[in-house]
Amino acid sequence: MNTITLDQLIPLLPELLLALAAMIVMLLPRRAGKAAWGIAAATLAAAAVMCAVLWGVDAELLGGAYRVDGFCVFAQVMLLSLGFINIIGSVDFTGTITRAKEYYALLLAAMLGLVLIPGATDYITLTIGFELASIATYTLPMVDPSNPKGREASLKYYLMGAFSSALIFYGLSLLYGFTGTLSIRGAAEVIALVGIHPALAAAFVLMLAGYGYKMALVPLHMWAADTYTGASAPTTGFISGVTQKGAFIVAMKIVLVTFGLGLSVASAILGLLCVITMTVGNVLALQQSDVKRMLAYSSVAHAGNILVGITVATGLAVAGSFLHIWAHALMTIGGFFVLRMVAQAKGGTEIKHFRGLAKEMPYTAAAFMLILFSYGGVPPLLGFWGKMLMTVAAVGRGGWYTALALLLVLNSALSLVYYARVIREMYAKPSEVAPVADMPRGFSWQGLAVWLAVGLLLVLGLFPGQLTDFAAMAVDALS
Amino acid sequence: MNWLNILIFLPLLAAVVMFIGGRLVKNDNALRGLALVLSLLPLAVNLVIMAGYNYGLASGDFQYYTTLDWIAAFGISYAVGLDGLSLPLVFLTSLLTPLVVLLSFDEHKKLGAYFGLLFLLECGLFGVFAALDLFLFYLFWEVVLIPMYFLILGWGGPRRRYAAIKFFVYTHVASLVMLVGFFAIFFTAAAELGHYTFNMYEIMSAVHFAPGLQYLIFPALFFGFAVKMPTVPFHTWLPDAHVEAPTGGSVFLAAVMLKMGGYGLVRIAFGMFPEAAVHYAIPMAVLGIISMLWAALLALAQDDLKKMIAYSSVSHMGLVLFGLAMLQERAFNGAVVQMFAHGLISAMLFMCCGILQHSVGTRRIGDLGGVANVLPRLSALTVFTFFASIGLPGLLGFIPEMMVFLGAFSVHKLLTVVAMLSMILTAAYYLWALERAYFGQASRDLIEKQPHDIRWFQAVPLLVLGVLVLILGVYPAPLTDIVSQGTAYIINALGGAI
Amino acid sequence: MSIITILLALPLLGVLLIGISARRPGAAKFIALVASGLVLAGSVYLLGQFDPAASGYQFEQITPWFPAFCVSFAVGLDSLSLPLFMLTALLGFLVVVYSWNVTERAPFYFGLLLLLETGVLGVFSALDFFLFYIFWEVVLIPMFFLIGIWGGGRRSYASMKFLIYTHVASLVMVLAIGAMFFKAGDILGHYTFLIPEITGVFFEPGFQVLVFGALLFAFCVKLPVVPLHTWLPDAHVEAPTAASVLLAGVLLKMGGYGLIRVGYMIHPVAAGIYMPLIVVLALVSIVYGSYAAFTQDDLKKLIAYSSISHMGFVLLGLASQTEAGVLGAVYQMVAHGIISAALFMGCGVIQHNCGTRQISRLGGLYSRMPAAMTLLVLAFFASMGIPGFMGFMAEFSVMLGVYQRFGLLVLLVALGAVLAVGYYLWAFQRVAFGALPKDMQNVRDIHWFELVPMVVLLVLALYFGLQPDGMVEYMQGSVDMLLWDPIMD
Repeated sequence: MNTITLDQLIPLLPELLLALAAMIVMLLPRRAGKAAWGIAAATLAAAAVMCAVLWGVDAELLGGAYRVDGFCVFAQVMLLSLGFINIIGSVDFTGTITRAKEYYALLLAAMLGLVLIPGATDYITLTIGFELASIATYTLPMVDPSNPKGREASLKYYLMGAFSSALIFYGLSLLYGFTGTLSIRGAAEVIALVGIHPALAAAFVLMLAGYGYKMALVPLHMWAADTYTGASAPTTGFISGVTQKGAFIVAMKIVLVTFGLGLSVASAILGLLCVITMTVGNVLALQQSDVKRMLAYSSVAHAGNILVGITVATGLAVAGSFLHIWAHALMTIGGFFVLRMVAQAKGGTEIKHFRGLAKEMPYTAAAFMLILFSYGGVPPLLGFWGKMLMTVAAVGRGGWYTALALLLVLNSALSLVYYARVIREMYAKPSEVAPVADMPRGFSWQGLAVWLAVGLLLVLGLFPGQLTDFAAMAVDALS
Repeated sequence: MNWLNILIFLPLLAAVVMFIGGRLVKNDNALRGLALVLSLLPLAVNLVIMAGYNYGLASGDFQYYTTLDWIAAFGISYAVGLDGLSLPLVFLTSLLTPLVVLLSFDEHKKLGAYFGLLFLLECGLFGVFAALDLFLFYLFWEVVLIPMYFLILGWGGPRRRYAAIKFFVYTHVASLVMLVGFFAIFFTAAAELGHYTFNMYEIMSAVHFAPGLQYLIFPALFFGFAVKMPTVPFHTWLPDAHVEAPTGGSVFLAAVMLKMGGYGLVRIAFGMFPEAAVHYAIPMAVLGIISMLWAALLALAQDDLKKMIAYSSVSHMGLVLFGLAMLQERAFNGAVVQMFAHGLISAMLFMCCGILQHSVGTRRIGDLGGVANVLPRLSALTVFTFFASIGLPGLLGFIPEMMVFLGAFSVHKLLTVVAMLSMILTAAYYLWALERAYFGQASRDLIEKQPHDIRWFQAVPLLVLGVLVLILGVYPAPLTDIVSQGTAYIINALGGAI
Repeated sequence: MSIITILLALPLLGVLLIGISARRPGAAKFIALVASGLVLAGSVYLLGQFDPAASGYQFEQITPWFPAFCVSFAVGLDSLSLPLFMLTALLGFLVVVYSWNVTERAPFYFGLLLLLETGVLGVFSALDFFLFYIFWEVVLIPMFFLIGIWGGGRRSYASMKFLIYTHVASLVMVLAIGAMFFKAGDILGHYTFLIPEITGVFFEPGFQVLVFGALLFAFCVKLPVVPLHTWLPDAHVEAPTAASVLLAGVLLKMGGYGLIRVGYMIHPVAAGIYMPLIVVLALVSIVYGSYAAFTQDDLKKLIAYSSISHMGFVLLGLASQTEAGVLGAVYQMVAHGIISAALFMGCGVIQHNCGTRQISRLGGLYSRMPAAMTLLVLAFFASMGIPGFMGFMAEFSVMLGVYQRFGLLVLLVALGAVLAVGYYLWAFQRVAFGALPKDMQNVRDIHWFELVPMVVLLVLALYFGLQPDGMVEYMQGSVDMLLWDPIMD
C-alpha cells in the first residue's frame, strides 16, 4: 500500500547522508583516521544545512512512520549543530588516540540515531533511533584506552542503559496492549476515547522511568556523575550535550503528545521529579570540590530545569524548554572542553587549579566565566532566556505551577552560589598551582569549540527572538 | 534689596573672606586687623538700619520687609523684617561681634577659621532674629549650631569634645520637636488659607488656631525654646558648653544664643498662640521661678567662676520666662528688656572671667583670692559687672527686674514674692565670690606669677558695654519704647485671650 | 533611535575600546573618563530637552526585540527616572575621576565601572519589564567582581553574599513580573511587557496583594530594609571605594525606583493595604539603622548603616501617600545618592591615606589632613540633615508628609535624625580630634582627583538644598502620578 518513491527520499537526505558517512568512516584505513574528523564535521554541517533547507516542509514519509515537520527540523538542526561543535572540539583529543576513526564513526552513528527521534511518528521508529544512539554512545567512553576510568564509565553507562531500555520496552508493551497502537498520535486518540486506565498510567511511569534515566533525573542520576567525570571531555560533552538532549525530545513526545496535557497525575509526578532533580542536583553540586564533578551534578539539576517546561506544557513553556536544551548543551560542551584545557595546562580540575586562572589563561577564563554565568541564568546570556520563559510560563499557568516557578528560581539562585565561587577563584584569588611548563598556547581546536559555544550563547542571548520564534513554531507543529 | 538683607549676608561674606584669608595670610596681626574691620561693617550697616527705622509705626508691622518666593512646593519664602522685638537683639548681635573679635586678639590658633566661625555665627543669629518665615527661621536656627559646635570643639577646654557633642545633640533634639510644631502650624494654615505657606507674617495675620490645637502645638514649641533659653530642667547642656567653650564662644552663647529661645517664645509661641499662652501661664511661671531659684542655688555651690556665671545666666533667663508668663504689659516688656540687658551684662561677665583665666591661668575660686591686689583694673571692672548683674539701681540690670516684679506683683503676689527670693540669692553668690576670689590676701602663688593686668583690647569691649549698661540704666526710655512698640500686638492678643 | 539608546551604548563602547587596548593598561582610565564624560554630557543635553510640564515618557524608543515573547527594547524617561538617570551619569563620571590612581588590573577595573554604569542607566530608563530585569541583573555582575577582586580581607564572603542576596530578590521579582504579564494579557487582550501599558491596567485587589507582596520583598532587599539588610554592611565594608560609592549612590536607588515604578504605580490598592507593614519596616529601618551606626567602629560600616536609615525615609515617604511625603521620598533618593557618594569618598580618602578606617585607631587627623576632614564633616552635616543641605530638604519633606498622615509618629523619625547627629559627630570628633597616632604623623592630605568629585558633590548637595525648586519641578509629575490613588484620598 505504501511504496517508497524517490521524491519521498529527498527529505530524508540528511539521515541518509549520516548513515553513509558513518559507514565510510568505519571503512577508512587506520592511517587515514586523522582525516576522519574532516568527513564527520563536513557531514554534520551538510546535514544541518539540508535540514535547515527543509524548514517549512510538512511531509509524512516511509508509510507514515516518519514525519518531517517544524518540530522535526528544529530539533534536528539543533542536535546536528551541537554535534558539529563537539566534533570541532574533539580534534585535539582524537589526535592523541589511535582509535580516532572509530570515535568518529560511533559519533556519526549516534547522530543518525538521534536525528531519527524528532521525526518518528511511532514508538518503533523512535525506539530504533534512540537505541542506535544509546548503543553508539555506550562505547564512546572506551575509545581512549589511556583513560582507565573510561572503561568503568562505559560499563556503568551501559548496564544502567540496558536496564532502562527494558523499562521502556515494558512500558511500550503495556501501551500497545491497552491502546492497540504504537503510533504516538494514534495512542493519544485512543487514550482520549477510553480515558486513563491504571495500566496506562503504569506504562507512563515505566516509560518515564526509562527515559528519565537517560535524562539523569533524580533518583535515576547515579550513573551521571561517574560517567561524566570518568569519560574524556569530548565524550562527556557529547553524552550530556547531545545524547541526553535526545531523551528530552522523546519526553516531549511522550508527555505532550501521547499522554496529552489532561493527565493531571502525570503532571504532578513530573512536577515532583523536577523539584527533586533540581534540588538534589544543586545540593550535590554545591558540595563538590572537583569542578568536573560539580558540572556533572549541575547537569543533573539542569535536567530538572528543562523538565519544568515540559511539565508546565504550555506553548511558551515548551519553547522555553527548547531554549534551555540549546543553552545547556552549548554550556556543557563548552564547559567540558574548558575543563580539558585546564586539566592539560594545570594538571587537574580541582577548585585549586582554577585559582588565578584569569591571569594565566585569560581567554579561557573569560570564556568559562561567560559559560558559568550562563549556567547561573544571568542575562543576557542564552542560559537566562530558557529559564525565564519557563518561569514566566509557569507563573502564567497559575496554581501549583507558581510554586514550581518559585522553586525553579530559588534553585537557580542556589546554583549561582557554586558557579560564582568558581568565577571568584579564577578572578579574585592568586594562582596556587603552577601551570605545566609546556602549556599549550595559541590556536587549538577545542578552544575554537569553546568560543563557538560561547559566541552562540552570547549572540543567541542578545537576539533570542528568532530562535524563540522557531522554537514556538516547532512546538506548534508538535501539538 | 534693602539694608537688612545686606546685614544678614555681609557676615557670611566676611566668613568666607576669613576662611580664605586664614589659608593665604600667615601674619596673625594682619588677620586680626582684617577681622576687626570686617566685624565693624555689619555694625555700621546696623546703625544705618536703626537710623532709618521708623519708631512711630504701629506694632506688628515689620520694617525692611522683604519677601521672595523660594521653595514653591511648600510655599516657603525668603521673608525677613524687623520690628521692635527683633531690632534690639539684632543690634546686640552686631555690637558684640566686633567686641568679641577685639577680645580674642590674644587668640593665636587658626585665626582665620576662628574669626570665620564667629562671623558665621553672627550671620545665623541675624537670620534667626530677622526671619519671618518658619522654614527660614528653622534653617538659621540650625545653622547657628554649626559654628558654635566647631568653636567649642576647636578652641575649647579639656572636655571640649564631650561638651560639643552634648551641646549639639541636646539643642538638636529641641529643634526637631519645634519643627514638628511648625508642621502642625503649616497644615492648619494650609487648611485655612487653601495654599501652602510658611510665612509667619501671613499666618499670624490671617490664620486663627482653634484653642484645642493651640494647647497641643504650644508645648512642642515651648520645649524647643525652653531648651535653648535654657529653663530648668532642660539646662544641663549649658554649664558644660560654657565651661569648655572659648571666651568668645561663651560670650556669644550667653549673650545672644540664649536669646534665640526667648525670642522664639515671644514671637512664635506667645505671638501665634495667645490662648495657649494664657492656658499654660501658671505652669510656665512656676517653671520660671524654679529656674531662677534652683540655678541661683547651684551658682552658689560652684567653685568654677565660669560655671557660676553660667548658672546665673540660667537664673536670669528664668526671669524672662516668669515675666512673660505673667501676661501683664509691664512684666512682659520687662522680660523682653531683660533679654537685651542680660545680653550686655552676661557678655561682660564672661569677658571678665575669660580675661582672668587668660591672665592667671585658673578660674577656680578656691585657687584664687586677693586678685584685686594683683589685678586692680580688672577687678574694678569685674565688681562693676557683678553689680550690674545683681541689679544695682542705676545700672541696666535693675530696669528689667523692676519692670517684671512691679508688673507681676499686680497680677500674682504670691508667685512674685517667691520669685523675688532670687534677688537675694543672686546678691549672695556674687558677693560671696567677690569676697573669696577678689578680696582678701593675695596668695603667694598668685603674686609670684606676676599676672598681666587687663590689656587694651580686653578693656575696650568691657568699657563699651559698661558705658551702655550705665547709660541705659540711667535712661532706659529708648530701649523700653522700642520694646513696647514691638510687643504691643502680642500683649493685645494676650489681653484678648484672657 | 533615541538618545537614551546612544547613552546606554556609550559605556559599552568604552568597554570594547578598553578591551581592544588591553595591552596598554594606562589608556583604560582615559577611555573610561571620555566615555563616562560623554554620557554625562549627553544626559545634561537630555535634561535640557526634557519638558517637565509634559506627562508621560519622553525620548521614547520602542523597538521589537523578541516578538514571540512580546519583549521589546523600550526605553524612555519621565520625571521619576530622569533625576536618577542624571544621578547615575554624574556618579559614573565622578567615580572614574576618583579612581584615577587605580593601577591594579586597571583595564578590567574601568571596564567594570563602565559596565555598571550601563546597567544602572538601563534600569532607570527601561520601559519594558524584561529589559528592566535584564539590566537589573547585569548590574550585579560588575559589582560582584569589583567587590571580589579589589575588595578588602573578607571580599570573597562579601561578594558572594551580595550576589546571592540580591539575586534571590530579583528572581522573586521575576515571578511577580510573570504574573503581571499574564494577568495584563488577559485583561488587555494582548500580551505585553511594556511598563506604560501594564501601568494602565487595573488589577483586581486580591491579585495586587499577592504581587505587591513579592515586589515588596524583592525591592526591600535592594533598598535595603531591616531585616533584609545584612548584605549591605558586608558588601560596603569589603568593597573598594568606587564600588561603595556606586553601591550606595545608585544601586540602592534601584530598589526605591522599582518600588515606586512597579509597586506603587501598578498596585496602588495593595500599597494601601500593606501600608501599616511598610510603615513599621521603614521606622524599624530608620531607628535600627541609626542605632547600629552608633555602635560601629568601622567608619565605612557606620556610613553603610546610615544608608539603611536614610533609605528608610524613602519607604516612609512613599507609605505616607501624601504629596510632601512622596516628593520627599523621591527627593531623598537623589539626595542620598549625592551625599552618600561624598561620604564614601571621604571615608575612602581616610582609608587610602591612613591605611585604616577603624575609628579607634584614628585620631587628630584634622592637623594632618585639614582639607579632607573639612570635606568629610561637611558631608556628615549634609547627611545628618542640617538645613541648607539637600538631605534636610528631603527629610523635611518626608517628615512633613508623615506628620500629615500619621501625626506624632513623626517623633520616631525625629529620633532617627537625632541619632544621626550623634553618631556622625561622635565619629567625626574621634577621627579628626584627639591624639594623633604615631604611625600617622606623616599622612598626606587628599589628592586632587579625590578632592574634585567631593567638592562637586557637596556643592550640588548645597545648591539643591537651598534651591530645591529646580529639581522639584522635574519631579512634580511623578509625584502627581503616584497620588491618584483612590483609596487613600
